Amino acid sequence: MATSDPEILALLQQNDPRGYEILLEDYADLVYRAAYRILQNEQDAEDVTQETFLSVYRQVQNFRGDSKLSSWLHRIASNAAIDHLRAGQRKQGQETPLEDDPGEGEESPEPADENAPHPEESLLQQESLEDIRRALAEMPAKLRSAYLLYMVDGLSLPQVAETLNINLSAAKLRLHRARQFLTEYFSQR
Amino acid sequence: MNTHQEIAPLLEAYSRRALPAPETAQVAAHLAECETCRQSLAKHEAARALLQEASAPALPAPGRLRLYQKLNEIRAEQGEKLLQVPAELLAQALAKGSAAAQAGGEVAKASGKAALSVANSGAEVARTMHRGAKAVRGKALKAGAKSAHHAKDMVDEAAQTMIDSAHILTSEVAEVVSESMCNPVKAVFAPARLAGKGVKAGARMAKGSLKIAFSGAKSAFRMAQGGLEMGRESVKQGGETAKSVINIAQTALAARNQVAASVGKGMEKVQNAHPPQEGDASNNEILP
Ligand SMILES: [Zn+2]
Repeated sequence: MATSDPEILALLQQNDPRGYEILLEDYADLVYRAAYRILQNEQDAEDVTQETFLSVYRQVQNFRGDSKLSSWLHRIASNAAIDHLRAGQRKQGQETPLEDDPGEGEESPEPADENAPHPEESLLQQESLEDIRRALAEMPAKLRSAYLLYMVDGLSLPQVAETLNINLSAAKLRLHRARQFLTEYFSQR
Repeated sequence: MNTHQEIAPLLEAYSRRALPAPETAQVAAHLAECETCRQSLAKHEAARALLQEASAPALPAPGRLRLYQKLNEIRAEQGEKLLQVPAELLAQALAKGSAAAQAGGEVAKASGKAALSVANSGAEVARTMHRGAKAVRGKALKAGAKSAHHAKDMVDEAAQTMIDSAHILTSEVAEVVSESMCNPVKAVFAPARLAGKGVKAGARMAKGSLKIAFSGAKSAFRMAQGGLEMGRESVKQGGETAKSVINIAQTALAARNQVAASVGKGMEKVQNAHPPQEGDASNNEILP
């Protein structure tokens, strides 16, 4: 029962409640996950999910449909989650695990070999779900969201780049660093 | 035919469902005849499944319900048409309440169950009342109004109990919970309300009885939410508070059943005796 992006968008722009019903049905999980991946906390992810759909409600008239609805939602959710994280950290005076190393974009990633073997995948299989959760929780948020979009949601690197609103080489770099992170995380123990 | 060397590097993307259709078909064909690649794919898929489970919770039903509520709150402020909350979502959220309650022990479990019955019977009352809208009058209506009133007090009492006894629920939280309950229930009954409008002579009657049913359902819903919260918190707390919620829920349930019964009686009377008289003047006196 897939309703196409333009159909949903038309309903939303007419402020037809059915548009929102379809939107929530199809995308509430996507938005929640995007937020959860950054925040690693159910309550915060739920708050951000609400914020995201309220933003849609306020901004949908300005949305031109240049990108996919899912990318647009993901972007709003990620940005809101990052703001949320920053606000929380400011309050607690914490160092932020949000930022990558300052050198992002300067250092070129390993040659973009999507097909190379990925040691973190075989490592994962030795670990308990709980340990994997912990590893993901400790991974910097930007790396985590790129990695999971790629690995779990099956997005291609260009799609990851579009969704996160970064360029392709940054997407490659984040994926690479995420893998490095996991490999190091699990081989240290 | 593709060689093993050509296919093996594609398995990772294949496991992520990220290959274009032609390659997908090639890989599938090769998998059928290559045990090594099947094993390798199984590893990729296992890793992906682990990551998925570790990383990607779906929005739980209560949170989903609150999302509808939030949007409907804003839309209600703007006087816009509300979203309709899927019935199965309501059921799920309530079931979730029971499930959480179970973890908190027998007392809390009973509270979730009672809440569920209250909600169910609230919906039943709404249906019954709507069917009987043209016919039901006077007595049943007054009884309904009384009991809705009664139920409201009960809910307030329940909220108060929770505020008093729980260190967890602040009065603010309770207020937010009860405020936000209004909208989804409205949305659920919106179709009924519209249909009610169609009934020319009984329109006012329908409106009035729905109002009662609505407030019954509303309190039922608050009870459910209360049960849900209780269920969650009683994992830590348990005991007295939960008990009082059960009592209140049961009393409210009894009240609902009473209303349903008197409505049913009213309908029966009309069906058996004489057809409803449209535009009966007594309608106008009773209704707000
Ligand atoms: Zn092979």
